[in-house]
Amino acid sequence: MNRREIITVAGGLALGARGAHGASPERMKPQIGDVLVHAFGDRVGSAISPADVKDDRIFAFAMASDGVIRDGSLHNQLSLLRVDEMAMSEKTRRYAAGPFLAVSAACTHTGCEVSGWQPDTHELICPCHGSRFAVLDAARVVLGPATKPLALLPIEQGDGVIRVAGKFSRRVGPEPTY
Amino acid sequence: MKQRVCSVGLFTFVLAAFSTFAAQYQPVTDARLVNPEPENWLMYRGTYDSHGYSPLKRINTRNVKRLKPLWTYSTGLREGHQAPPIVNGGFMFITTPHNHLLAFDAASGDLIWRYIRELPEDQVQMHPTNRGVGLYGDLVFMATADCYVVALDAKTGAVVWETEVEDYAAGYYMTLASLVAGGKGMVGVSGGEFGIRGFVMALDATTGEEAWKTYTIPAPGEPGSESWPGDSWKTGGVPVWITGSFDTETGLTYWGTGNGGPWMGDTRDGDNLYATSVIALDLTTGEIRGHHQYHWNDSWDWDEVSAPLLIDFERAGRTLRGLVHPGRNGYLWFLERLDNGIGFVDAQPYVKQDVFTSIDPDTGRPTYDETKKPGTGKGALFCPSHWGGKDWPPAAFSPRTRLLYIPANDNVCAYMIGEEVSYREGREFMGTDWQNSNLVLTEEASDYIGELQAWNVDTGEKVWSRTFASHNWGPVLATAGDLVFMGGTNDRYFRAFHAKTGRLLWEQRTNSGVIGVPTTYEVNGRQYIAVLSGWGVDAAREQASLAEIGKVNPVVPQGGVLWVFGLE
Repeated sequence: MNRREIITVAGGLALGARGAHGASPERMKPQIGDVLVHAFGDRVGSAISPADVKDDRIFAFAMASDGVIRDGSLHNQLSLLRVDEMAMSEKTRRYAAGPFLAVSAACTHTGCEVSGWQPDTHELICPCHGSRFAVLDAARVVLGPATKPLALLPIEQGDGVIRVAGKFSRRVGPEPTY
Repeated sequence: MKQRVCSVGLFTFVLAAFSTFAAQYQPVTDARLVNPEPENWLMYRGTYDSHGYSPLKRINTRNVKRLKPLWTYSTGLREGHQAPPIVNGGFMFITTPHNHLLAFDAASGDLIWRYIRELPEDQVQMHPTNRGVGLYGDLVFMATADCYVVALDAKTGAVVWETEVEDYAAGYYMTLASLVAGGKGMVGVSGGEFGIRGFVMALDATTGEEAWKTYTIPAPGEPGSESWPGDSWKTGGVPVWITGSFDTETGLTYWGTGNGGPWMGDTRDGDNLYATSVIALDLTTGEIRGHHQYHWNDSWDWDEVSAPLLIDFERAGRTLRGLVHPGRNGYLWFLERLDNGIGFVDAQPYVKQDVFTSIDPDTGRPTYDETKKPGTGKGALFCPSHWGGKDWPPAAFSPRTRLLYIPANDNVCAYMIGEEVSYREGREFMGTDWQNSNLVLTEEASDYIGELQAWNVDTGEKVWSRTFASHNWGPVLATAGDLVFMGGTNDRYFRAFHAKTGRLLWEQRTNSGVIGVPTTYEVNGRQYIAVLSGWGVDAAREQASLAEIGKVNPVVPQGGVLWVFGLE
């Protein structure tokens, strides 16, 4: 069969992934100045005070100044942690607010929520496939199948709250597949 | 449910190669699906009875040693390539992880078109795979990771309609090939680890409109609802992620169902109908017309999602209209299709199974060794592991040999312990303490783990088996050439065995591990064997878990390649 392959692009071509970049403020990524609030539990939606963050990991979302909580996507969810500031790598410290770190909760392997936290080893652990990330070393991969670190979100503290201070350190979640 | 009719491929990227070839597409009718031509492979397992058997025999035991690769095609994607190459009159369709759909000239390997699904970037891909297409009329269907069914023009790849089946953000996704029958395309949902409520949905195959939807967990007041405590039915899992079988005489479709959620049975005290069961759904209405629960109150993640093979087998001088299912729970189940439901015939372990202490001879209900049942805060060691005696890779049946070919795993057990978990929409809802759970090997694991077993369905006896050092995730194809094809091992081989003896007759080392469903077809009088090689998903996960307990395995590179073989 003698055929010549040609490339046509169908109307409305949109190769970028749809979803988290939608227009709604709930799905927007955390913005500078947003306040971190409890994502779940009895205090859902209330601002997180630095004193709230102890050994346990707290899941957080960012809240805009108009009160909108950016909880429309797992890609906006953060693990808020308290660790030994002196044990952080230099890179890690750039994202920290004193002992506090905000790490994306979306695994870079297949996008599951990274829900496991081991304070003694400072590792975040994905329950879906077992990937482990070293929080003190900019959330690098300790054990796969993930191959890329979790994204860090720069934060600052003041006025009894924790605020977003910049953009994520890298792509949130898995790499695109095409 | 959103439903959209598209004049062009809205989220489509199509590589098209126009030619007179496209004009030759032969529409897929109900009659053709009921009696597919031997040269075509029109559905997931070739025929509605899920035999995974082809009457083609140009390639056979005498000449298979001359089988050679004729063409290959690299998908450019990682993770689990599991789809059967579906063939209709010289058109071949494959799907890939992340929902690419490719159409080929099945003889030459020329790409005709490629559709790339635009997936939400925050969609969780716990099982990045897809298990192929369904066909009807001039349409080709794919169930997607963002929980849509998309229908494309088979000739061009243009999107004709797409229907949202459920909300991906709530943990629903789809990986199975549609079951197409009676003008309907039927799909089930994955998400048993995310607190979904499973169901099977039928769509009008022409328009994409919903025809019926049947939950695998009854609502309060419905039969079986008493087997779920409190509100546990709302988030109890019971996914359906493998294509069903269809009895054309009775109009009943048969679906295997998955695990209850969370994984620990003590979180949902009761039998939990219709988890880990086979259910018979009326094609016209979706009504549940029968069920058999293989094991109650699942606590081992033993999804019984493989649809039973419809095989008429002999017992005590009678021919029974049977259902045969090699269970993930390690038992080989023989059931009977009755007018008023599903009857139990017999069952026996086909791998080491230490959980069941007895099987009720009338009902098939097992009793358990409770020390082998993990719970919340209660660890238990059990065999086989949560990946079971046979996970999703389909078994095959040859009516010539009367043998059922089971891609099994033996000698891998698991220690598992549950932990408290609370439901949050779209988040993981397993309740398994993975820090303190692990695989455990039996002594015999140093001899073998993977196995290809052949069982005579009339005598209920194992006739032969081949063993492998590697774990085995290879779907099986049987042919009238008395060949059985299977890959599945981490040494990257794709193999052909003698269907009567199990003797290895041919093997080809491939780019990756073969976890794709093999198919066979003919074009212009030449027979081909086709399979995807592309290791990933649970084959890779089990390998990682085995490495954690010190079992050294070869590196299996990822990346999908379609292989098509023929005689030189």
